[in-house]
Amino acid sequence: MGNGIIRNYLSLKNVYKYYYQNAEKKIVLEDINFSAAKAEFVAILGPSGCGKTTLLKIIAGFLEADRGAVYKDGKELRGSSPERIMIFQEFRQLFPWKTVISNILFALNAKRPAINPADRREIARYYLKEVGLSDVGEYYPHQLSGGMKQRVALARALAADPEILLMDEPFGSLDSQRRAKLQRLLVDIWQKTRKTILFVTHDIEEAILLADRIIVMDTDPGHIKEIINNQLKRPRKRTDLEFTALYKRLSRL
Amino acid sequence: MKIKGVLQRLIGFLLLALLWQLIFWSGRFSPLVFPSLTTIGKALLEAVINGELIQQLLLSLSIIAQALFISLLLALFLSLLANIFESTAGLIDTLIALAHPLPGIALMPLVLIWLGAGRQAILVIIIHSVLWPLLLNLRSGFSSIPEIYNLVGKNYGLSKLQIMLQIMAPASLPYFLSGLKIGWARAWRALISAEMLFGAINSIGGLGWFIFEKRVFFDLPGVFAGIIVIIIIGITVENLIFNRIEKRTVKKWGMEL
Repeated sequence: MGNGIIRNYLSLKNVYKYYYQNAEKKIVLEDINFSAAKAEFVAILGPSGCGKTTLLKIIAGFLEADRGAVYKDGKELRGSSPERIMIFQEFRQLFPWKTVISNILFALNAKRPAINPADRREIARYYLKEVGLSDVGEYYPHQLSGGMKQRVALARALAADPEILLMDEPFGSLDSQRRAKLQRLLVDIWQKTRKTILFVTHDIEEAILLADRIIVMDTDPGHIKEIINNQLKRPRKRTDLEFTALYKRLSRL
Repeated sequence: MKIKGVLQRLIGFLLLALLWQLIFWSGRFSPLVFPSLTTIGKALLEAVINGELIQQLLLSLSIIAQALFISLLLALFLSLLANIFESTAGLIDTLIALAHPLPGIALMPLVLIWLGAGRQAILVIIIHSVLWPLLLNLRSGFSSIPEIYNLVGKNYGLSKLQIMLQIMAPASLPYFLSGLKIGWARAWRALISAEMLFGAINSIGGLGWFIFEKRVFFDLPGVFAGIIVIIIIGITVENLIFNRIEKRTVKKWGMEL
């Protein structure tokens, strides 16, 4: 991993975030430094309250860092952009008044309006198929299960063809079976599309299963404790010895 | 299920009609004050055929349509104003808090002095009845839009105007519709009362005036004919128009309040 240029595709330098409570300054994020290579799958692992969602929102451009900055290809990022699409944990990130296919079309209409409408529809169908939901295009979000909604949200994000996917515990509200399925799907899609992914989670297993690199955070104030490379062969199995060894190492942190 | 509902409704109507006829047949009341259904039906038919009822109905509907249109524009304008300029929001909310609980009828003496007993006066009273509930609902509709919708809109590169039109508008539709429903119900009541009251001073017509005039001539079948038309309009608008719009939008989207 010695290649500095590629490694510094996306980097955070000395990022701080504060908020004020009764005129008292609280530190949410303290001196966050890390970088991600292009096409790397990075997990940000930490307990609730460690500021990992705030961190993702700063990278997305929804929030501004109080100190420090986020850089992509050496240029400071300002504001949000469809180059960095965020996928949330909440199921209601889909627009309820649009059908599934229209929700995906929304991304295409916004990001790639030059494509003619018939082709856009075709592309939307392609991404729906990619997430394994070819049959529900005409359904409305409220008719779908939580897992299906998250799949549609993923399809919508992919349809915008972003460089970076920012995922904020997207499978956190799913039961373990559905979660495992979606984790496999995400790895498949990542291997196929080679998007750079920043994936926030509090689940150690999930981080090991998905990521090449795991950024371990802790609370009070939110800071990076350690950054761990994860070179386990894919597909990864929870029962592998190396998997459990890494799991033990991470849970001791 | 749907046919069953209609059938139940129909049976209800028939039972009521039967009850009415039974009271009439019992002879306890003079036919002058308690006319039979056939007399009422005849009066209704007659008023429809000679054009009087239709003319007054159209007049009432034109007033209410105009008032609804103006209220809608005002409500949209004021809620946009409150959304864009934070400083106006407090003022507008205070205005709503003051004006919303005030029944339109209570304003009538004042409006009478300021504007006289004309179409304008009725318009003002109806607009007062519609505007505040509509505005109130729009305000709470906008503020209840989940933050996540706006974030998604922003993330995909939508402009402020696009977010307004593509996200805020559909997201607040359930509130908008419920405000419109309340507004309509209030407007309809205010209209009939205003027409009656103003009709006594300076007839400008309308359904309210139609009923009032029939009473003056002690034409009770005529009075009932007017009432029946009011009921029919109420049912048509509330059940057919609003329910249909809701079924095709907020109900289909799972966004009912």
